[in-house]
Amino acid sequence: MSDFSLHLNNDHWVGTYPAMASLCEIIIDTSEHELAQKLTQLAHHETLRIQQKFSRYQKDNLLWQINHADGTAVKVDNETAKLLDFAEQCFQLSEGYFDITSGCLRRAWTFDGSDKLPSAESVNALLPFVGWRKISWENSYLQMPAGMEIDFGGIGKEYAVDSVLQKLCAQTNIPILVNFGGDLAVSGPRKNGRAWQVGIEALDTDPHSNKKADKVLEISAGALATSGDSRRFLFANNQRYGHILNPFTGWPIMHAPRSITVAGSNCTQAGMLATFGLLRGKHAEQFLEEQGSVFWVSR
Amino acid sequence: MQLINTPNSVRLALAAASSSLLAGAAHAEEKTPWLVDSALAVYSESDSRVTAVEPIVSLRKDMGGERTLGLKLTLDSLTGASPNGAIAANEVQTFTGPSGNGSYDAGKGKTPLDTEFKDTRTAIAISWEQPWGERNRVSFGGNISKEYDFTSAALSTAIARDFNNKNTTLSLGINLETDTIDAVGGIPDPLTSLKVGQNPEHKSGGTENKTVNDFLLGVTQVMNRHWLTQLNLSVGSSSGYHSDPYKILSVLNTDGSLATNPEDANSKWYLYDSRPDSRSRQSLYWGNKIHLTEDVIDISYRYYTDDWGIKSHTLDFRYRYEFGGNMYLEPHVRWYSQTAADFYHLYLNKEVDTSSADSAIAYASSDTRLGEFTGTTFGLKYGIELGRNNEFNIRVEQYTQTYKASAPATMTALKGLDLAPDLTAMTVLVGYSFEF
Amino acid sequence: MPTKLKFCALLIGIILISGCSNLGVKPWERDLLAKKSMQLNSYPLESAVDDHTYFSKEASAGGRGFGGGGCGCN
Repeated sequence: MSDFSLHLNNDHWVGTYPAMASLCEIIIDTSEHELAQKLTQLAHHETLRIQQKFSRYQKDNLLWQINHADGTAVKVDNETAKLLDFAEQCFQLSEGYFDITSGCLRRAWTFDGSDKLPSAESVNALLPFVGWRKISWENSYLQMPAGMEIDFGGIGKEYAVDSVLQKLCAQTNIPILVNFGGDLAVSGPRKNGRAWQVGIEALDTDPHSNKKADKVLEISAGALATSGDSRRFLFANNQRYGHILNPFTGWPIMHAPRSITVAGSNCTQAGMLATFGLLRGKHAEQFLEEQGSVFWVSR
Repeated sequence: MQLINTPNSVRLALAAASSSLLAGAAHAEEKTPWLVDSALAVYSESDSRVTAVEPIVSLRKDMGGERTLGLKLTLDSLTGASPNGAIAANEVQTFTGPSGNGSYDAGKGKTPLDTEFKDTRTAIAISWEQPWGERNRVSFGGNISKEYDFTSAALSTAIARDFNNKNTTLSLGINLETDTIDAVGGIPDPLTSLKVGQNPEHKSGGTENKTVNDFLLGVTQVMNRHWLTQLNLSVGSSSGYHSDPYKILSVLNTDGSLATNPEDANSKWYLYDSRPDSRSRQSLYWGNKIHLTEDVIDISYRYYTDDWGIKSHTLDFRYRYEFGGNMYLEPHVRWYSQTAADFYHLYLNKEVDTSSADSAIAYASSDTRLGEFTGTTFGLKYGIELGRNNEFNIRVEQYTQTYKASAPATMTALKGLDLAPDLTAMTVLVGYSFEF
Repeated sequence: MPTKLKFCALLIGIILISGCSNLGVKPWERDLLAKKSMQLNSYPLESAVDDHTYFSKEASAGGRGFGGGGCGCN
């Protein structure tokens, strides 16, 4: 279990640790070292707990049992039940485009920046194992046909941000910002009512362009989440294939933005809105505008 | 992908869904708190009648795995005067108190009140609730209540089962209770005379007992996102001593004047209360909670009937008005109406209801609780939420009972008397809940 | 209608309602129902005080629930 580090940035402490494939930052608006240490420890513990519990790479956790149940029903705990309910609603709201059973499609796709597209047969072979409607989720029991699997990757990181923030806020009234590599949430404004200053990293832009704008956002409430394919894509036939897949066809959503950042009341909601935007492909901006969201899109 | 419903709807639906996800999701390892709920009720009747002060404290805690322990302590201190069952007369009336020592008077035209009335009741309740299998919850409860002349012990158990994704819940419950009364001065023989002067005392009883069984079958149904409804069918029966050992009935002559006691020409005649030794009752209760945009309506109706001939309707309406700052105001109206018991008599008629030393009737009571009346309650409650499981509230209510009891015009001696004056009572209830 | 028949009808009504599987909400639509103000007995001490007051002043008892213990007041 790796450690966390703590450094003082002028008048506030910043705790950092690697987790969830990102650098996790806990910014605590206090100059008290002991308190900052205690809070970062708590955040670290909670982050690893969630990572461990919902990681696809962990053997014998609940997720592993679910994905290897071979057709039998598995009883899930309260937290997992709530995540499944949330995933189900996202499935309904997106009319099936957001589907946590679509993870198995990754077996056909390797998004390494090359031009190696999979064959139609290899993708079609996996389609029978995709589809939330094929599973039974009721009264705390989850039952999937053998060969199907679920993946909380599309919700996990944002949920962890919110959960960590919630745990820290239960311990203290001191302003806190939790940032997991661009998915962030704040407890409220900084001391004296000031807003937090957050730098949104420039994306891997088109190598032929010189545009490299670092945005600095001011946030005093709620959350921000970013969804994008800046590092995972394929480029073939003069087309960019992002890693967000259409669960009905098994192929990437075409003409999706490179990146979407959305503001929301919590990170889970913001992240899901960004994901929904990507799933709309070329209509991403229109969708987010219709929703009245505050958002930034890069193409 | 088509756009569903209205603009904003996806964003708002996700906001609501993510809130539900985060509410309580991360509390898996946290220690569960003790939830403390406390209340103080002060009840006061008009015309210097009963005053009651009732403090209550309850504690609840999830002991892990949704198994909940509950403890409740109630104290109930009553003072004041209570009607003894006799009606007002156009002369001064004298009565002997239950203990047989003191005597008290009722002024001309005044409803006789027994002032020898002071009691403190202590009650302890314990409850346990836990899941049973995947869809059921069982609960067990025990209750003990003790006051100077009365002890009650009860056990209850209930089971609830969810259906249709927790939209429907069926419940079944049983309550068994045993009550013992050790009346001050002893238990009087039914429909015998109150000792007023030189007439003999008719108290051969020591302690008396009754058992009460109740069954409840209920269904709770989520109708839609805004409306929850509940229907309960209750069936109960009790057997044993039901009479009130302290209550009497006036015996009147045909013209309404107070009859003379056949056992002592210098005393007036009052007979002790007598009720059947069994009672069987049923009630149907329909309750609703309706969430408007911000506010909540609570409206319920209950129909009750028993084999003593009583039928009643209860309609209860509350409107919880939320205004800013986590505060609410809740006006409340309750309307109640009941018919009289078959053996209810405002008074006894010497020529009709009695015959010399024996009574022609088996049961009789003039207890206003068993008469025909309507009760109206108006109340207002104010509450403020101060934090998680932390609330302060205060409620003021006024309850009025209006009786329908009269004597025929031929009873001229009763002219000008208010035989069943209205009862008005005020309650102030202060509540405070918190967790630690 | 005789009392026994009335109550049989109501019992059947209860069983019928419990069979209404198309009524209700999805798990994520329970946000309002989870609020304290929407619980069937959100203020149990207040209900206990009311039940006690009305039990000692009226002939009827019960309805919403039971098991509050007896008192000598009725």
